[in-house]
Amino acid sequence: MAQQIDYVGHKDDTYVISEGLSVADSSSKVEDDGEGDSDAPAIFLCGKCRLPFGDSLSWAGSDDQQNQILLKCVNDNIVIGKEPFVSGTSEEQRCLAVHLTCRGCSFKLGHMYMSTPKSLDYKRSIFCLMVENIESYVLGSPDQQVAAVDREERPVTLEYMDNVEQQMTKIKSLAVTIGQRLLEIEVDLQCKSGTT
Amino acid sequence: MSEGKCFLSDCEPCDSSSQSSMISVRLRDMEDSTEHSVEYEKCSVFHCAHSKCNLVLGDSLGACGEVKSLKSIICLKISKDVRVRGKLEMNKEGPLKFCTYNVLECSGCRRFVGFVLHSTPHHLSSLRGLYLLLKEAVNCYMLKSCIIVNASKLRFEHRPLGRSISEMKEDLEAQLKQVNLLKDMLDSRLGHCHLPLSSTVSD
Ligand SMILES: [Zn+2]
Ligand SMILES: [Zn+2]
Repeated sequence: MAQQIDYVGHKDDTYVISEGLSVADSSSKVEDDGEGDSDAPAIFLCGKCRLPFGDSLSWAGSDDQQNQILLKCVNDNIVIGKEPFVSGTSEEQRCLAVHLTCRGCSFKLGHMYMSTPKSLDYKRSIFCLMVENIESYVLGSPDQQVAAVDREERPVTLEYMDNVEQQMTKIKSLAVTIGQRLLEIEVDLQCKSGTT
Repeated sequence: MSEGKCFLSDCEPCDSSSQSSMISVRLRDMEDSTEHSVEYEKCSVFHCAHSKCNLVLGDSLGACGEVKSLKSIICLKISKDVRVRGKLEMNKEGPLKFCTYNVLECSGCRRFVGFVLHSTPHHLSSLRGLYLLLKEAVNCYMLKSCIIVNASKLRFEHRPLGRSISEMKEDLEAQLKQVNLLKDMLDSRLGHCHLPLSSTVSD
């Protein structure tokens, strides 16, 4: 009987702890709201008609001198030209490339090298896009308007829920490990009490 | 507890000190990961679906779910390019019956892309003040895959966590029982009174 009461007491404690956790969570969320994620990806759009064609998750580098960004893959809003042209001003850099244009408005967005000399191998067969002809949008941009709802009444975002779910999974597996460990201790204790 | 048991039989007996350090590592891991664990591969960017407009209206990081009856996505944040029209509209029929609301328009093409509810009957009151983007008016650019689909083909539902939480609570309560049991075993050992421990432990 005493154990039963004890147990209920512990249960209450557990509840308080979980409440404490949720408070900590919401405060960390406040921080999230304050500053935009610096490592958030960007998507890239045609500079003229804003059709999105790719994003920084397929980032392959950049060429700052030529003001280009390099992407490993894009969607079919980019049309790969059929007519190769000779690219490169210097003899050494000369090679063949095709134009990349926007499917929506035929705006020239960049090119793709079909063959390269050694110095340009890092650009071969990937999408080279001219920064001045494209636009970008960073996810979760701080430049957004926020709904005029009291902080307490704000619903959590789906992304936040995902985060909670992930944490839950981790806690669950932690609980399994702890359970395993407890069982070992139990077996241990049983063995020892058997010998004495 | 039963879960722990089956695990024990599954695993080779491991060194207990490494195990406990594993627990602490995992605890630390949990603390560290609270900040940056966004799965950007699953994110999408919302564009105006009107052909030739494509203006960015927002992204999935600002989305909170969907309202099936209104065929719209609930957003906490949207792009500054979405304009809230000042004039209050009202509906006498349809899903927005008895509601007053402000229309959201795309500043690129001036089309109707959603609304903000101002006054509502009881069942819609939790949506007041939030941005509701009409799924049909939104195309989603999915990161990583680069695919563009109309939002009406996507789901923005909350997965209920309640069951998960109660399962975990049960797990933890079982563990607490086990800890109490162990404590009793220890107590009795220290007190030099040899009770038939094996029978209390076995269930
Ligand atoms: Zn274009
Ligand atoms: Zn538009």
